[in-house]
Amino acid sequence: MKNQEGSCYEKLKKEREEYRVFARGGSGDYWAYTICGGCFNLCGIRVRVVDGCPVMVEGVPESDMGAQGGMCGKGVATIMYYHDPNRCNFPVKRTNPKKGIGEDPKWERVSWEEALDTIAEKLKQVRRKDPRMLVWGCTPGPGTSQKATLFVGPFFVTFGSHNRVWGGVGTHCGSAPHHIGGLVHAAWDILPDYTYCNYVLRCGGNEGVGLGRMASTAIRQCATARDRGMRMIVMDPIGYISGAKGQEWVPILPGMDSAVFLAMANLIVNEIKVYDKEYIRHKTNGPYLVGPDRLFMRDKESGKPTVWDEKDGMAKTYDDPTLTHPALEGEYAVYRINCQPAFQLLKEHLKQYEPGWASRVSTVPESMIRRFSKELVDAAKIGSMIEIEGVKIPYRPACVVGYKGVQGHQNSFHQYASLILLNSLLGNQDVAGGILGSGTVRGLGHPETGRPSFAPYAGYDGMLIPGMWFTQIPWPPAEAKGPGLVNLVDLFPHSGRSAYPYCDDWDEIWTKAGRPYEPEVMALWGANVVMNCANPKSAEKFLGKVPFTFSINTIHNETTEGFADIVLPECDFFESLDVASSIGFFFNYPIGLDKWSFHVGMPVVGPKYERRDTLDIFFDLADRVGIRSEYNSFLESYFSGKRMTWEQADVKEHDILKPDERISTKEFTDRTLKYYFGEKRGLEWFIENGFLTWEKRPEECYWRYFVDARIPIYYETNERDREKIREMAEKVGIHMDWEHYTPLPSFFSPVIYTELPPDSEFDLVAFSPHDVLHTHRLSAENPWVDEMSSLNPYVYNIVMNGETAKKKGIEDGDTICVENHWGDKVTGKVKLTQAAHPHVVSIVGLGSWAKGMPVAQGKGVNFNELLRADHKHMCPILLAQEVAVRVKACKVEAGK
Amino acid sequence: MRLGMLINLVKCVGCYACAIKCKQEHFLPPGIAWGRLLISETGIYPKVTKQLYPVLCSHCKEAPCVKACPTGATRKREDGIVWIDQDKCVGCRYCLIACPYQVRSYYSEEREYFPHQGPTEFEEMRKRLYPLQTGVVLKCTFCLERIDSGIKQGLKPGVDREATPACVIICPAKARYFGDLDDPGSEISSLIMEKRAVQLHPEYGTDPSVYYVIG
Repeated sequence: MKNQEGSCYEKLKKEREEYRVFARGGSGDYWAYTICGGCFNLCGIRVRVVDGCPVMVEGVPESDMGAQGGMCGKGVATIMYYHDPNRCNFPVKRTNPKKGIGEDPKWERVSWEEALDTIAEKLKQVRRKDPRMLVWGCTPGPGTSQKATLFVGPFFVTFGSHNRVWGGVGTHCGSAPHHIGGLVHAAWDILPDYTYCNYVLRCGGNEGVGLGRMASTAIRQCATARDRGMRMIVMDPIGYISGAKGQEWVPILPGMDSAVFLAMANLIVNEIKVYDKEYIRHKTNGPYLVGPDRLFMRDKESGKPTVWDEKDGMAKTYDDPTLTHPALEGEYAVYRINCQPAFQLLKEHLKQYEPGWASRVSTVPESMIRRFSKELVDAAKIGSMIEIEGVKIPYRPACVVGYKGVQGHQNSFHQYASLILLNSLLGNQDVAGGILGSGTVRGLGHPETGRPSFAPYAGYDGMLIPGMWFTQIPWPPAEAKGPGLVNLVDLFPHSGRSAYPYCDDWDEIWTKAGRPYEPEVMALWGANVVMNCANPKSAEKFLGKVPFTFSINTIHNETTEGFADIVLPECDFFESLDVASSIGFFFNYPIGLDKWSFHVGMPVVGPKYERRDTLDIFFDLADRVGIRSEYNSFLESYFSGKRMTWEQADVKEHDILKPDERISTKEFTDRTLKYYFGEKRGLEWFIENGFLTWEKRPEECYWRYFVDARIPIYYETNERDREKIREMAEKVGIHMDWEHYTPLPSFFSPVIYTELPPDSEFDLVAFSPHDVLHTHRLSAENPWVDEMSSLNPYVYNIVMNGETAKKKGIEDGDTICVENHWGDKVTGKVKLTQAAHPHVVSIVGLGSWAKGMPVAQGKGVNFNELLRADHKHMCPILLAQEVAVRVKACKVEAGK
Repeated sequence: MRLGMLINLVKCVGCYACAIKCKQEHFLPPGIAWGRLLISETGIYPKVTKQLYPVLCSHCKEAPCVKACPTGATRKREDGIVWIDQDKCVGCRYCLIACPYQVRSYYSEEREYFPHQGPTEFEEMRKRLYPLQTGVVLKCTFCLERIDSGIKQGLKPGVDREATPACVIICPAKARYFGDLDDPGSEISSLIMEKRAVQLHPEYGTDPSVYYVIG
């Protein structure tokens, strides 16, 4: 090992001194505040530290960021992440040149100087040739949080690479909820307004019962709502997670939710005929006139979509100040061309989705489809208002919510669009009692400073654009081009993320695209790609070919061991100074009237060994690579609120840091906090006081009628872009069902039901639910989580319906083999239940093998080995992966 | 005073916070859990009911474990808490068998959370902050250290966090309540009446101090 010399170690020493000051010099028995890193929800916590040893975590009673003193189980367990003896402590380099799944990297310890010099040199070479040769992935997962999107991602973006690929969130990340959530709610996701909601139809998701968006905050809010009588219907292939908490569990075949949603929409519009017409009229593009080409009829001068003003009997642009009553139905001539309002087209379009048909394809009884439609409409109290703190807000206490289980299919876009359509018909979006974008996306700032402030606004075609986002904003979609990115997102501009390049057909596609360049450097931050993407072998195909990979981790995993050349040891959240996670409002801040609760990630203990904090590493790298001014400019643009998206503002005034300043994480954090809350509330104030709260105003959380913008029920850009995308994609060998590019939410059977005959021996659909104890892969390494998982029969075992199993000669506790129709197999013990659809197999995705994660090794089953990653198993619009698969199951005889 | 707990199963989501927090609070070793989550299932597809039961020592009024203990190690306090004096426990495990709720554990030998890698700093801290003897029976204590320390500071169990069991204060669903069952005006007593909370297996005749709202 080289001597601890050079500027790097001087920096390391300075960083540690600064952090030790926060951590009270490592002595005594004290409680300190920070943000939980157990998942991506970042609840505020306090940690008890005894002589430099974190021993306990709890929530913060006075804060609404979390469970007001409580925490979920996986959050409580995070102490064991800190204490794991397998943590990365020193930079290491690979000495085994061979890369692949299961390879022993034969790590050799190196100095930070050598590690960063090597990485910087590779990055500089790539930047000179083509910055796209740097491919990068990160994860907002355990211990990592919003640093992924606001510290890590922007480094690579300012480097010049938009080649963002899956990191650790992997295959199931919400392609549809994030994209459509952005279009409709200016938010990353949605949650019921539990404070006022009386009726929830929850589909394929477990938010509010332990998982997903807002974890502890949502548990608290949802539990209170259920206790006071909120009715929760759970439509899900399994009934033992959120299904256990609903008044009714309704089994459904995976991927068939859109059939039910569209049938319900048909009933609501064409049979019950009660829906929020005024909401559709004024808040959606329902009145936009559509011509026979299925595109909007646009004003010839301005290019803006037109509507028909029923009062004046003429066509006007949607934003004409004289417009009072845009028509939702009828046929009108504009420029002598017959047009209809988009809503009229939707109304007719929905008629084909009969409840009887929906029942046959989904297995949800027709009587339930009809009953839920009526119940939703009745519960929604369309037209009613409520007064909250003196402000009149529309009151719609009913909603439909769903997440991964709904959208993790090849028909992802339409699955989610049809769910959203139901909420649009109820007029319940971002109003009291309805469905809210999560977290609150309109903030008027602290009452003393007015900062940070952000709000959605109207953009192109009058459509909603988020005021705070990360990655490229979802509207308007860019023009299709390329492909010039390995993730193919430039070719599919409606998608924000894709499973490429970890796909079996990527190499062939890239060749047909002329191989614009070869990826030379892979950068990973906390990302266990091998385990979190569909099929480790697919990930191996790509990772194995990239000449140089560096990764920044708190612990080694299957990806670092198999493929990394250098691994840098990072502070975990107990040791980290992190203001990025405070700014992740739109991701996870408490919805509804819960207080704004601003917490800061602060080191409760000083970092040990040679671990460094995220921003320090990236500042250092930025200096070495020569992009510090660009990186500083991004941070300035985002954190000062000039432009809180990855599209940066042209910064002229510098409120937090100047391009040429070389400040530390501590200084950056302090300046940011003072900028937001005043000179007296910098980092010292937060160390002393822990967090800051202020009351939320109704016009912030129920912002819909305070922002003049519309949302889509007619996705015109699908129609507009279809032919161009089709032509370009087919040229590179991507053959998809382009009919998905239709403007109205429609039913498409996902590929799992069309690629095999109905009587196929592969008669089951396997999928992976999100278990309450686990998030990403790191949780499997936690011994407390492991202990509880061992006691829960649904975590490490393969779960299937008891009657189905009986027919196959399988008994409870048998070892079974689950095999897909490509010959991939997994084995495990079976747990039989009545709370599973007869045609499904449920496997929590675990099954680690990394030497660096000994507790996780061999526990559970690696579900992803059953998946296939290629364009046939993706949504043509969003590139969302199909994460269910057709399988058969049989008992493994003893000795075999 | 008779201290007791109420767990509202309508609110409980089975997140394991209570079970894991208990391990954390008491530095419990691998394999010892004073709080657990039982998952039940009744019905036939598709009419199935799943229920999640966080279980712990019920600190029964008529505690069979107390009667079974030959050394007097297991004793009942005036406030109703059943506790084990580790110095007096000889590890005979009669109490384990006597307990109809199966909430006791025998701590046979020290084990590490990361096998063959030595005890972590956290596990070393156990020796200082919460020493446990091997060869004895262990179980939930209703966090009597928190209660006793809290009362000394003038705090009220069930009202003030520092004087309330860890599993109660950590529950994110606020499904758990704690207080004096002998006080008809206490929050827990009111909730038992209002929500018609029940005891587990009342037919055992143990009169447990933990109640459940089934919903």
